[in-house]
Amino acid sequence: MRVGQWVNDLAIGVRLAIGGGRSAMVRLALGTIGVAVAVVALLGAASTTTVLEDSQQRRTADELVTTRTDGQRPAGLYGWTDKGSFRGEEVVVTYLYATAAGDHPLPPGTDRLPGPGEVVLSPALARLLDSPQGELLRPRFTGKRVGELPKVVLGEPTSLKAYVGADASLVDPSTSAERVERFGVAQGPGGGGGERPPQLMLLALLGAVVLLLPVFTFVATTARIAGAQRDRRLSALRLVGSDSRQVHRIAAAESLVSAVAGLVVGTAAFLVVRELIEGVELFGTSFYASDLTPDLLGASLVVLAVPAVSLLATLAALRRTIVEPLGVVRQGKPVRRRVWWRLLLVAAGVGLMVAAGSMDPDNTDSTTVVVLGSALLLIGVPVMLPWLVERVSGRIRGGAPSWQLAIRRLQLDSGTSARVVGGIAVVLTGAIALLTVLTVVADQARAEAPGSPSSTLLASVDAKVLDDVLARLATTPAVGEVRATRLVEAYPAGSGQSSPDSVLVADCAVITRLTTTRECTDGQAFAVAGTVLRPGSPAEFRHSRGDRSDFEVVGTWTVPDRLDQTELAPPASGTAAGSGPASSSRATIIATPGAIPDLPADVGATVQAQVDRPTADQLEQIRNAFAAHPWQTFVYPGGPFERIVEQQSMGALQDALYTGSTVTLLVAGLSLLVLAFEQIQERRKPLAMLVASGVGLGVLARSLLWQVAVPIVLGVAVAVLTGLGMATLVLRMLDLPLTVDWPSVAALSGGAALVTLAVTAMTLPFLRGVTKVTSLRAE
Amino acid sequence: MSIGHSLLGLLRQEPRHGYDLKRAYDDHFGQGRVLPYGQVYATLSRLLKNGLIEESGVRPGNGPDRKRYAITADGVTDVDQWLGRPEKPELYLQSTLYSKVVIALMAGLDASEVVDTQRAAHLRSMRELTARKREGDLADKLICDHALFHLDADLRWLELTEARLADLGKLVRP
Amino acid sequence: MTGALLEAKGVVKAFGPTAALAGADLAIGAGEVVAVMGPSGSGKSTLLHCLAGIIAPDSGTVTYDGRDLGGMADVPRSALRRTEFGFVFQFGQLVPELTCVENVALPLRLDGRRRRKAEAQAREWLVRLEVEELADKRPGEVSGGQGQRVAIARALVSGPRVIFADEPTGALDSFTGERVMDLMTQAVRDTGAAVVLVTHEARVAAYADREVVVRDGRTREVALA
Ligand SMILES: Nc1ncnc2c1ncn2[C@@H]1O[C@H](COP(=O)(O)OP(=O)(O)O)[C@@H](O)[C@H]1O
Ligand SMILES: [Mg+2]
Repeated sequence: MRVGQWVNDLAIGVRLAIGGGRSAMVRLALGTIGVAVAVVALLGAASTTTVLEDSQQRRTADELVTTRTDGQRPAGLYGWTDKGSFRGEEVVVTYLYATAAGDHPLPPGTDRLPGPGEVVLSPALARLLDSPQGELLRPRFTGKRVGELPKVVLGEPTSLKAYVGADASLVDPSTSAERVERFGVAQGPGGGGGERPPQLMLLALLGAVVLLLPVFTFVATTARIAGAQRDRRLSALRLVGSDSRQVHRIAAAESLVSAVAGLVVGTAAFLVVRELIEGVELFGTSFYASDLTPDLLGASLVVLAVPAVSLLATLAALRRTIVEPLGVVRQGKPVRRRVWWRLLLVAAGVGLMVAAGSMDPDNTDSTTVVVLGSALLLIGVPVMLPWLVERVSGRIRGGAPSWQLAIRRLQLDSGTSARVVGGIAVVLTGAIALLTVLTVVADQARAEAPGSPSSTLLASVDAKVLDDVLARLATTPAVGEVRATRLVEAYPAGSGQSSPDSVLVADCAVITRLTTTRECTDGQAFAVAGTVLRPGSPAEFRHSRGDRSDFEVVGTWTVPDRLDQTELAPPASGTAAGSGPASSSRATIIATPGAIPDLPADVGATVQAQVDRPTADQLEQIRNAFAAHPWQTFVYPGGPFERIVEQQSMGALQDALYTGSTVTLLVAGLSLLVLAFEQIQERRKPLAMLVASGVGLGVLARSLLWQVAVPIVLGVAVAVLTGLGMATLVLRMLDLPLTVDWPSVAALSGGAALVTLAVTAMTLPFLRGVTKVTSLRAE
Repeated sequence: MSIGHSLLGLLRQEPRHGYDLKRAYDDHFGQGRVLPYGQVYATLSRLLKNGLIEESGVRPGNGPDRKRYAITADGVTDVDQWLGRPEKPELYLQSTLYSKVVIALMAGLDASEVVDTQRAAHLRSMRELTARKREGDLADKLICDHALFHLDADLRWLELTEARLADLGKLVRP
Repeated sequence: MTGALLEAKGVVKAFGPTAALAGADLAIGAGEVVAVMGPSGSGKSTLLHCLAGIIAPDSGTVTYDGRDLGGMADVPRSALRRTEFGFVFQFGQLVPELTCVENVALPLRLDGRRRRKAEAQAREWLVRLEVEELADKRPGEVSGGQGQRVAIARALVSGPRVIFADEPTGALDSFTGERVMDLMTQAVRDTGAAVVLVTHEARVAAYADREVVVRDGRTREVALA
């Protein structure tokens, strides 16, 4: 009997949700769409770990697992991976050479390696090379294309990646190539994603809170679609004798219908969307459809949380408007909102953030506290807004008819508008907070970057190709002065464990600029400080095999008879002379090439080139100057390529945030649209009445606009204040000063306002349809 | 109401014997009172004299009521003219009800009591009329409606008067 | 009056500063039709709501069948509305999402009756009220008078002992209103239900066995000699 009654009640609820005529169908459709949009967003979010793990796994699936082969180069497959860039996009190229045909490891998903002069490209790289945009990249991939890289080694559909068949020079001891044992995830530091610094973790968590809250806000708001109508409907049920618990069951069943429908539609839409967006690049990220697979935990959370939130929101709404039988005849005065618990929430958020400020920022506890605090603050926005809108609109009087209509409507029911705007305000708040924190953190990182604001390019170049590289650089635009130096340690011959002299080898043109010496001829050598080596004494070059005592002599040198004393010139500002692997500051002896004829071939050269404000194209041309000898040169990141370095650390997070907030803003905009439709739908009779009695559509449209604009203005104000406040608190915790990027804040706020305007504009045709006089006829 | 026109109207439908005529009149217009035979025949002879009706046949036998009457063309014109002429709206300015209320007021009595008592009386009549409507035929319904609406009008006037007086009292007293 | 089915004694009800009822008494016997009359705003509807246990009086008592409605919890009070009472308001009491027959079947379904059985019973009532052709239409698609007949069918479907009618003809023209009143009084006579008929129209009140006048929140009954 009890169970039967329950089933009966639920059946009535389901019946009320479906097949209730046109307006009920519209309501169900809006609710379903609303939940579906949220489900798509949530399933996307639940796929994050899969995306990250899978793409990370593919990205590292073909890493070179190598063994060190100091000096000797036994037969086998040799390889070296260069992580360069093209116009800020990472281009990962693996150079491979097998010294003998036969058994050697293969990267996953491939059945052969490119031979010398052959290349295997990722589809995106092949496309780029074939397009006009790829013109400057073509010199780097001159080989014959013999295949395409399989998905299993590509992090993203748009990954730029290639295997290039190298020649025997790859195996030269002077190159960085190593013997490849197998392809797979490399061990140790540098392999895998590595630990993210706590600062970034904090930002990432904050980002997740910012992005997911509006979605849940939206689900909750969707559950309140057509609230007034529902209250009246439930009142009618009360009148004919359903008790209050029965009404709750009926309302719950009703809201579950759209939640479940939304879940189904949303899941279907998600499956379609992920096929559609495969390979579409969004803020530097793209996905394979298979990456967008929610993990089991995430998916079950979505399946459970969406109906649960919807249900809770419905029951909460019922609690506020006690459904009484008389709702049929009288529209009760709205209950005045109370402020204390709202303030309590915000105060708790602020309190937690302040408390976290005095904790150790590297501590995970403090991270938890910050995330909790900011979550509370963020929830505070949609929570405070209805109260604020109620208070503010309650104080406004008079004005034009459209204004008056809007304000009076707000006074009667500000909740719907405020809730709608609340979703947008949360996104805005979070975006402003994160933007501010990110800007400051990024500025800080830039300020701390070594050699900044350098425009000195630094590269290591194999001695054999040095002349060619220098010749190429000489004709490359935007390249100014170029210095090539080689640094080698020279030990007193047969001295055992003695310490060496650092010998810097450079031609006279460089020496005269590097030191105070003005007179220089080839064959001369100079002493910078006290030297270990005596002039005229024999010296040797060594290859260390482990510790100092275990070495192999790879060359000998007789120190010139004369070592003129000289001093290093103070480094000109704006150069990287004081740092870098070939730092001249370490040198104790400076020699011209003529003074040190038998330098071992594997002593590489360091090339420093002054680059004068290069354009993006010129940057690529500079890279191309080195690209003729890919494995014999290495261009250090930084200097003119600095932006790329920065992008790779901050960028990933920023990209994720932009992707997320775009999606979330989309969701919020959609929710706004859904609720705007719903508001018109719910009030179609009085609206039709007004039009029938001669009120212009323009007045109604303006009143609709005001009705959203007033909460939006308040919402933006609250969002800017809260966002900056949150940023201040987070920055205080990171011990960084607050600087506000006002143009971006203005742009964000303007964007939110624009979304509102656009949504209002989109509802106008609907308004016109609804206000046809036929709408007057309805129970 | 003119008996002559009513009888003419009944004859406009079909020729009738005097007795049938009286019965029809009582049914439709009698309102509980019957028309005396004398008055029927007096009216009929006046109509005959004026040429508005004629005798259209005699029933065989020897009863007092063997004559059948039919309407003449003049008679039809006369009835039609009567129907087309609006009645002068009756102004109940001198009704007893009005007098009573005014007097009650002048005597300083509670007007609402007068109204309530009168309403009770009116409603009693209206209840009877409503009950009669339930059993009666169309003509009954029409006549009852007529009476009900008049009684309703009385009551509305009474209630309005009372409301006006309450308003007036509010103005005068404080 | 002893043995009254439904009785209000000294009922007082105020909404904020407005005193809607200031000591109203009313007793209704089984099967009796009582008109509650009075000017607009005098407290007629409030009295009806108190009698039906929809709102609780500030003071005074309402007893139904010897039970005090004021002391009753929500669940039994709701059950009472479902099984013993029926409601006909001026408009708006039908659920717009449900078809007419579903609306009529609603009290039965809320009482746990199976859908098919409840709707069969509802259809019978629609036939009695001569609106069977509206069964599968929604309230939005029928006229005011038809909607009221559906509402009466719903009020009667569970075999109630008291019908509460608040201005049931208020939105109807004289003729339609009369049809509705005829059908309603006919139906209650057949089922023996009592009716509390709130109206300000004398012609509607004339369907009642007696009338009670509410004035400024107080009831007054006039006994004629
Ligand atoms: N829910 C309510 N809130 C505030 N005032 C009310 C409410 N219900 C009734 N009233 C007031 O109580 C008085 C009596 O109302 P009501 O019983 O509806 O009168 P009636 O039905 O006789 O027209 C009126 O002044 C009305 O404004
Ligand atoms: Mg009322």
